[in-house]
Amino acid sequence: MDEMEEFLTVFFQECEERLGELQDNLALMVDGEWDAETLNAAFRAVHSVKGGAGAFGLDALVEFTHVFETVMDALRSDQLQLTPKICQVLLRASDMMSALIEDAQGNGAADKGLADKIRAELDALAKGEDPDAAAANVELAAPAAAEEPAEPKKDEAPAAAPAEAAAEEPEEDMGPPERELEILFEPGPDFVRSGHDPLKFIRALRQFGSVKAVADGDYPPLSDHEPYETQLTWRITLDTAVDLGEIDTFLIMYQLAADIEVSEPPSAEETPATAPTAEAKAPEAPAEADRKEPEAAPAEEAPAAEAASEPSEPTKAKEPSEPAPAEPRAEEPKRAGEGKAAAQQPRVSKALRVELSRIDRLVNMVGEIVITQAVLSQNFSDLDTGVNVEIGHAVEALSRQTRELQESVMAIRAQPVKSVFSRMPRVVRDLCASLNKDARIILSGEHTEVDTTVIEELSEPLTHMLRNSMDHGIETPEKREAAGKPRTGTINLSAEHRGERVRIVIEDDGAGINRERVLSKAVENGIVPPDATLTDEEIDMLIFHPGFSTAEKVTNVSGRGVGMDVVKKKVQALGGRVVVSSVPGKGTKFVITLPLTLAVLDGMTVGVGNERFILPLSSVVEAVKLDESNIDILPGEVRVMRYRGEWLPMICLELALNMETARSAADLVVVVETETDGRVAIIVDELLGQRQVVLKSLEANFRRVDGVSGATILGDGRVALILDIPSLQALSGGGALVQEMMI
Amino acid sequence: MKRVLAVDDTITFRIMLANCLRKAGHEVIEAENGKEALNKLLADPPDIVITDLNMPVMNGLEFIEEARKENAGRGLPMLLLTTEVAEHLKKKAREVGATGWLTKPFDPAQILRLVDQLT
Amino acid sequence: MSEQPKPADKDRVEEAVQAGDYRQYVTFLVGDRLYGVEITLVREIKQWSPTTALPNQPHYTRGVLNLRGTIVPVHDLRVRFGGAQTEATENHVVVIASIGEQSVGILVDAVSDILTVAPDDVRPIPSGARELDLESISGLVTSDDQMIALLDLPRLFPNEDMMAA
Repeated sequence: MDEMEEFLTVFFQECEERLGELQDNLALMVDGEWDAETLNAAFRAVHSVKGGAGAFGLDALVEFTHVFETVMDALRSDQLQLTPKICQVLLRASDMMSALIEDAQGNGAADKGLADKIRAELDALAKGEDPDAAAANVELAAPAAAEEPAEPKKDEAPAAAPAEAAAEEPEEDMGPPERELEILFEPGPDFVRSGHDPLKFIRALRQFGSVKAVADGDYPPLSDHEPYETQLTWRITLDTAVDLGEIDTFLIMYQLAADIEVSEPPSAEETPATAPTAEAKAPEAPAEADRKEPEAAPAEEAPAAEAASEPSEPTKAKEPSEPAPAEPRAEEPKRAGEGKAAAQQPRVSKALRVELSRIDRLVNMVGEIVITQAVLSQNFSDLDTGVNVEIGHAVEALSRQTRELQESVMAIRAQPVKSVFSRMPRVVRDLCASLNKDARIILSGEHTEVDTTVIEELSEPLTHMLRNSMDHGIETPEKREAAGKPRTGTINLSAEHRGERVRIVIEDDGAGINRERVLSKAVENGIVPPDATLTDEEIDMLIFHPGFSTAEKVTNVSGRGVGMDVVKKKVQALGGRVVVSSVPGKGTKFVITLPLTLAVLDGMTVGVGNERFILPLSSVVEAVKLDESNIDILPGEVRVMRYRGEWLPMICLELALNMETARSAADLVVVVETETDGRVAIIVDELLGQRQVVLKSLEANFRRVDGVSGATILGDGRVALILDIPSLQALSGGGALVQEMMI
Repeated sequence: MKRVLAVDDTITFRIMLANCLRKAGHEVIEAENGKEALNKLLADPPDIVITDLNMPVMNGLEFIEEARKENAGRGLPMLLLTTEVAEHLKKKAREVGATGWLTKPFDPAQILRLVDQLT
Repeated sequence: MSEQPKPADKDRVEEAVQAGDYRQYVTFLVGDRLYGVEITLVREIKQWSPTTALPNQPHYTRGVLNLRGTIVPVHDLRVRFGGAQTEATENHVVVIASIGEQSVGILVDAVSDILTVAPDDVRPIPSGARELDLESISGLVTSDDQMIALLDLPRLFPNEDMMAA
């Protein structure tokens, strides 16, 4: 069911593209700047929407596109002359097709009456009648298709293509194809013996679309017939709208006993000349006859009668293997015409649309390779160094290539932040209107690329922050004027890469955070004790406290208490941080740093007690021997360590994580940089090496766990947790407190 | 309705498999090792066999190999359903004439589809 | 594995269900007590292997394990019902079951059987049943004079996000 929905989504995406093509080509037709290819392209656009619609049982769309396609086909085969009037009908039909597609997505947009009317007009055109006549039956004035659509050859044409398919595959009523897959099917000699049947295979393939199979290979004389031996191979053309992945899944079952190769051949449109088109088609004709041959093999289904017919066939069986100078068969004339025109079509885009799930599979696989490679490298480094220089080089090369492979894969998933950023100006405009404020937003770094999963999650926190800036930051034009600022406020939204992370800044030139109000509100809400002395930065950060909201009256913009804490949570869930800084009267600046990807990170593996943890390498400063003489214990059992002239709070994982199994012998400390509170020292037993780790979610089957950002799987199959330094610091209690006391 | 011989020494899996097939209206014969399966296959040939690989007494590969020597087993769809992924086992499976290789845990819909497809 | 056959088989499934309206449970042992989980929720059964502990995990949680690349929490059923921590060995078994979209491992002593139960045979928990955590038991079944407690997994292993901020 879900799968079906997924396909549907893909189909609707494609519809959109096809509609675009159709509209572009119709525009050319309206402008009189069309040629044969324009008509072909328009036809194909309608045709493929129809094909997909058929596969999904979208009947209304199928019916409409069928008539539409019929008219387009009559036009491209010169059975109907394009006139301005017809253009108008086509334009309306294209709009209606668009509405019907939306309908199919449940957005109910199509006017049924209008659809019927346009269909009547198209019908009339298809039949070579005056669409006016048809339109006369409906209230709206129809465009007189003045030129009687010169349709002498009757409207066989449109039906022709499907009809052929039907002739070959009577059971197949899928509507015309999306694309042709070529499947090279080579059963092993024991294919039948091992419980398969070529015929059943070919039949089963029909679930995906119409099938044409051409047998290759020599069929032995009947006297040598060995019912359990498969000697033929098949070249199968599958017209299908089905996703390749599904077909691959289907094929798994056969791979033990047969070699199967699936390729998506360049479609006819891309073939540079007519000849190849004819060539490609030629084998289809004999396919029909040949398809029977496989039936000879399976003993039970192919009685002697059929087997006996074989000897008369072999020539045909061979035919397709000859580089087909074969003259076009019955179906050729029309198709050849299509092919010719099609050949001139410039390729619109070389971009390939791939389902995210398939890329994810690839990413996972690469992730596994990264792990394997890490294990290999590590084992090798444990070996005697002199063992084998060659192997050493290879291991090194593998390590480099693995990294490149991984980067390439991640690059596939990378997307510019533009897709999110470009939505923000509208948010600001809307807010300006509802808040009676005046502000503009300036975007920069929109082309900064980030992993697609990060992009998807970015929209919500960004919108929240913009709302916050508009609501609390930017003043009314009057107030701004009084403060000597331009009436129009400015919000800068920028993105840039910073090492392995992306840094997103939202900066406004508003009033800044009202610290007095924030503090009193925080005291009022019991967030901080009344006698607390907080630094400006600490007060600013209070706005991220859950449930905190300073809006004096609850506006529908940001004062609902679902404010900045949501942003913080969201950003943290992405493995990122958000920091705010503010200058009264001048403005507020939010800085979000996020990992570029959620999938892989460079980590240092450390051993602590019986556990192994991963520290993000980017935060590791240094590992030093633990020296008791450098350690001081502050009131409240907080331990600090002297390090290069400063005192660092020490984190004991056993306590911070409440894990007895992480009891450390306290030999080493790893000094790590937090993004917000300087450096901290984590007590560990040993360093186990650096490696790339594949981030696995704990939330997928469990929940978010404070102190760790996720888990990974080590070379031995065990799970290791990836430490999240800032939340760890919060858990260990009083990182900030310690610092304050030291100052 | 098809006759399916389901072979697995793990009772859970066998029952889950049988359950899914019976729900879809198939007749299921169960066996808990290759030996028992071979006897049942010879006694009353099924339309398709789905067998585990690692089993006591006689494993799935041996079972298929033996079955292929018999008339009842020739050309009979015999699927391996296993947690194994090793290539050498797949190679062995090919040699003894297994029809296909499926990995546990299984997808009931796929099993049902295959039963239709292969018989 | 996905629970429901695809639509194509729906009719046949419905027929089957109408013919015999029963449910099947995988039963397993913890000490001498039997528990059951509906078979459609059981994804697989694994031999025990050491887990990795989690920070601040619930007392009955043993940690997480790697199930073919995904991380799955493992809970000790004995501890969950107030017993001592299981001294897990290779002979112990982890039942991987689905709770909604998530998978969870349940550490038990051994898998016992598959039980087919008619709806009428499932009886409510007698009021006053002592040490049972009533909330997390969906019913009782008697088989061979032994009482089998049917587990309500979502209640047994609730998964609230306990994080504050």
